[in-house]
Amino acid sequence: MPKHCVGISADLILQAILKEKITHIVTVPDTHQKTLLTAIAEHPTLKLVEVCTEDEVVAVITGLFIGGCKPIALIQNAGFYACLNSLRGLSLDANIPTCMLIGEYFRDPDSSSRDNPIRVVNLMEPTLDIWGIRYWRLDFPDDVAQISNAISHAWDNSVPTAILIGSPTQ
Amino acid sequence: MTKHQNGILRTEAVDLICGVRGHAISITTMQATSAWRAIGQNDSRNLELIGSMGSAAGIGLGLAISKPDEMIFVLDGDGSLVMQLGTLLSVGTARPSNLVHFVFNNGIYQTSGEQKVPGSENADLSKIALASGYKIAITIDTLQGADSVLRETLAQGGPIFVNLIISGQGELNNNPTKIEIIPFAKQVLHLQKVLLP
Repeated sequence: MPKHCVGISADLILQAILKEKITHIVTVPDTHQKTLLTAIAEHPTLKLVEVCTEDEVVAVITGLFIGGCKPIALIQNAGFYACLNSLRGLSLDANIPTCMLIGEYFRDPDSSSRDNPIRVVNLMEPTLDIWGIRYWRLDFPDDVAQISNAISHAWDNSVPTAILIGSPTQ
Repeated sequence: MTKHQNGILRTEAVDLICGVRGHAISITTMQATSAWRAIGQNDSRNLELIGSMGSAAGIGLGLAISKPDEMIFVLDGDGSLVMQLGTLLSVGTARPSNLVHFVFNNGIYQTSGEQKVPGSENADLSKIALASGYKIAITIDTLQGADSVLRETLAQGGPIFVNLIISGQGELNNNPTKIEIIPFAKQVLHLQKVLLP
């Protein structure tokens, strides 16, 4: 059976983020992005801002954006649902570019996200659709090019976007 | 009405902050907003956060990190703060020296029927802030000596937490019965024009 997603090198993702001149990663840690978080924490210039809740992630990104920085979020799928009100009130209503790297915890690599029996996984794409948030998938190494698309779309249109990470980063 | 019998008026609190503001960027939310506006502080270096309750300090943290040469004043409410109480730990971890976090602590949810804010009976917000990593946390419940205490505190650098015990509202200039809401997106653009070359 062909895999629906595989683990992608954290370094590949990090290089794609750096290429977009991202200044800060604002995070509540995500299990799927463990190796990426380590790589970011060890990077000499990219700054990691660690906060307690995904609501704070959105608020801190708002402040960083107002001050002229170029931040992105790194969170887990459950955390995405937790910060929907902040996404509405700040990212959407106040036109804050908010690109989110979202790890799909509990995703089964042998099936699509929508076919997953667990709601934290299968509700992700429909929720993003309902909220009008464009998303791109990082399911295979070639998908890393989508990081640029997701970040550019967020900044060109002053909206939130999502990059869904199906398997734990390597 | 407020929960606290002893303390200062909301109008006195904003006058106190105004006296030390200088060129600080201010972010107001909840009960502080109309009082700050009534004394003409809603200028080009101010953000009014209406809705998104609990996010003012997080926005202030992001601004403080991104603009380390600017002073950032957050004028928060107690009900708002406890919605995202973890922000105290996030600020205490990042420890921006240019962030001053004022909390208008009246012990109640002012606009929804004056219900008690959880913890208002026995939680000490200053102690929580200090334990969370703020450099300094003070409580102001009287005007006597408050100005000099505040100035001395600000001179030490932050992050600073100022717990303002509010015992009444006071009379606002122009006494607006309904605050005109300026879209936050518009305010963000205006502030960016001021801050970014």
